Amino acid sequence: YPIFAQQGYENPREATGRIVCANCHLAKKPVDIEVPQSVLPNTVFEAIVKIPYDTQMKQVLANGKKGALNVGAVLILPEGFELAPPDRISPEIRQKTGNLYFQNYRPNQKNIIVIGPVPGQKYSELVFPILSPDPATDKEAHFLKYPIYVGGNRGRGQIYPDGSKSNNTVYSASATGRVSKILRKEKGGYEITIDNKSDGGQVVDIVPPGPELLISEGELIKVDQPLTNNPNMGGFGQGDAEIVLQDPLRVKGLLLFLASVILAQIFLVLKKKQFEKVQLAEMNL
Amino acid sequence: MIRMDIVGITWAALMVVFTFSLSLVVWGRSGL
Repeated sequence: YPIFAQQGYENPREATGRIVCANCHLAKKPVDIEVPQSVLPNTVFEAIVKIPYDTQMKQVLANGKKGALNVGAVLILPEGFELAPPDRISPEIRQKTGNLYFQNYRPNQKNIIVIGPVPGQKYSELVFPILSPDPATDKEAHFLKYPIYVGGNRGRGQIYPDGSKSNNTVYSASATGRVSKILRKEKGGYEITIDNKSDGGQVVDIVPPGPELLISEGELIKVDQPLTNNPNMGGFGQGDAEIVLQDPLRVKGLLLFLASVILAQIFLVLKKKQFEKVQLAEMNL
Repeated sequence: MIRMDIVGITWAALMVVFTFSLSLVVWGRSGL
């Protein structure tokens, strides 16, 4: 959940460039981001985050039952960029964003936007409405090329922020020995008793409801050997894009320059044509 | 519907300049 990151990390992007969602969502899956090449100041544009997966897939829920996957994303914009206020969003973009509730990562950090969990079947493509800053009013903003970082996830995590495992991951044996007893609990899940080979004691490994057992009673197992399959269907991915905050004056200047280039070329060719006539006349003398 | 802002127009203008420049060369040299 984004809330775990919001509670635990001041900045969702670590110094290494890793986005902190990856600390709990251990599997890697692709994400994609689409932004315009350049935007003008004080303009609303859309950033499209794609979190592709097979929507037919089911994942294990916290109670061990199967259910649909959710998706979530974090968008780290450059300083000054922020979520577009509702009155600036055009009906066209509003239709694309749907009823999504975007949230700032911190109330004072408007350039980091999080969303989720939302149903993945409907929102495997998330459209963020973004407002670009205006360097004329915001002295912090400049006309430059900026990086945008995105993290996107589908499915439940494997670890909780306190370090404990969720039931959406593989469970492995904590000792080498023989499986002496497998007790199926009422609410699902198993208690697996292993007769420890080295010290003769017994170890009890608890598997919560969700993962399916791979071992049976009487089997000899080694330490760290997986006791269950890996039920995880989802995964997290991150990516980046670049966007230019473009000065309309520069663009107008370029347009003027291009017009002057065309004019100069036309006149050079005309001059050449005129000179060719002179050459012809001289030859006929 | 295609909506164009000034940036889009400028990209289009750049492509026009490149293409037109080639045609001017053809015109100036009276052929390919």
